[in-house]
Amino acid sequence: MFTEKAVDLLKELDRCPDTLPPYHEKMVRAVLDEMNILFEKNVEVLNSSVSDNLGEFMPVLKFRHAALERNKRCLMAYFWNRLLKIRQMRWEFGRILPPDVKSNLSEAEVNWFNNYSKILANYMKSIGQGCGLNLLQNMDPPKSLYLEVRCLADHGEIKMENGEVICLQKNHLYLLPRSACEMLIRQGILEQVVSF
Amino acid sequence: MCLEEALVRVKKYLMMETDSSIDISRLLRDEDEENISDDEEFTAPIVLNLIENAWLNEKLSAEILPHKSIYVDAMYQQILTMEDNISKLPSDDIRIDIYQLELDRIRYIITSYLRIRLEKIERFTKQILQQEAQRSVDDQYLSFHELQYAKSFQELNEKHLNLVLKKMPANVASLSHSQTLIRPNLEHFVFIRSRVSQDGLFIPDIAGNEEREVKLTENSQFILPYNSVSELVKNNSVQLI
Repeated sequence: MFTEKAVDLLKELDRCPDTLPPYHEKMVRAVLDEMNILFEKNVEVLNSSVSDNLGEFMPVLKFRHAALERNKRCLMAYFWNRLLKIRQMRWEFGRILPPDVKSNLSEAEVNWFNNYSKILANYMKSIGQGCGLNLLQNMDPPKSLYLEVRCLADHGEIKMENGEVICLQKNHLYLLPRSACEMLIRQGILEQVVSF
Repeated sequence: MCLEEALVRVKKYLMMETDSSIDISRLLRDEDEENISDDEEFTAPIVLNLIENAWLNEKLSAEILPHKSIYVDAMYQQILTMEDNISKLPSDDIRIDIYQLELDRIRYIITSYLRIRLEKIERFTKQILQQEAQRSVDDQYLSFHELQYAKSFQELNEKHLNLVLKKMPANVASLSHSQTLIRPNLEHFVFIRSRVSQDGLFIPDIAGNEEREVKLTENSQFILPYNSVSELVKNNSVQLI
């Protein structure tokens, strides 16, 4: 059936609401091929038929065109929604994507990601008459200055705002200023220890 | 520092500050007195209040509102100076943490405000840019940098989608304006509190065609569809809550 593949693409995307499935190039190409075949068939009919019996072919022409439009719409939705997810990842992971996530992106999407990072960085730099403000920080209303965190991976040394250097080791507990560990928590290196 | 010493310090501090509640308006006023602000109307607590209101409005409305970048920039500068001042205090001063936490709270409001605006800009890029183009220079809703951002964001997306469109058959290989326009839902209901008394606010009745008049009195609260109060929100006579 026509447009089935395009719908499958969307279903695949829909099944993973929290993660980004790998870019399905084969399927995208298959949908594009189907579109080209539909188009060629229509052109063929238009060229071969004389104007007086065109009415006979009208239903099939219209049907193919509707299938074309639907394919296009599904593909656009697929690409657009992937962009939205990639945008979300820029805010979660920061400027550098973890390699396992990056491998799920197409080349064009990596490009988009880099350019998006660039315009976002430019905007953040311009806030406050050129002082720059990192919008990726202070994501939640602060309850306290320090957070108790557990380190989940051997991250190595991080530099604090006051110039102190701390070495983060796996399974160690730390009490760190919020601004220093917010990004690391989102990246999954630190875990906030909730104490009641 | 041993416990006893710390306690003495706290007591001294509390005695020094007869009013022991440490609110940000006081904190900021202290700062202002040092700097001797020349404009009495726009002291830091007032600006903070303006930003807080703008932030709430922005958060609760679906469409983008006129920008308040002057206040945000001013407040941000203030934060930076204060952080600078704090860093000059001796590192065992008990006030550091308290001040720092208050500053973090203001920081949160500012970043959250700007983030919400960015999200709206990214979502409704086309519509916002279209409307911006129709507005006069003095009446722009986006700040200069936000406008730049919106434009480059739109360009970026069009470029990306065009990569696929290029491979499609010629008769469907373009996107019409209406196909890609995303509009905010302006009919959503909002909680409002009126700052001024005024009548003559007409609300379209959902069931019939008749309009109903609502009289706003000062500090009265209503639940109304957003589009009927959008103008009042923009001219600041109504606060979304």
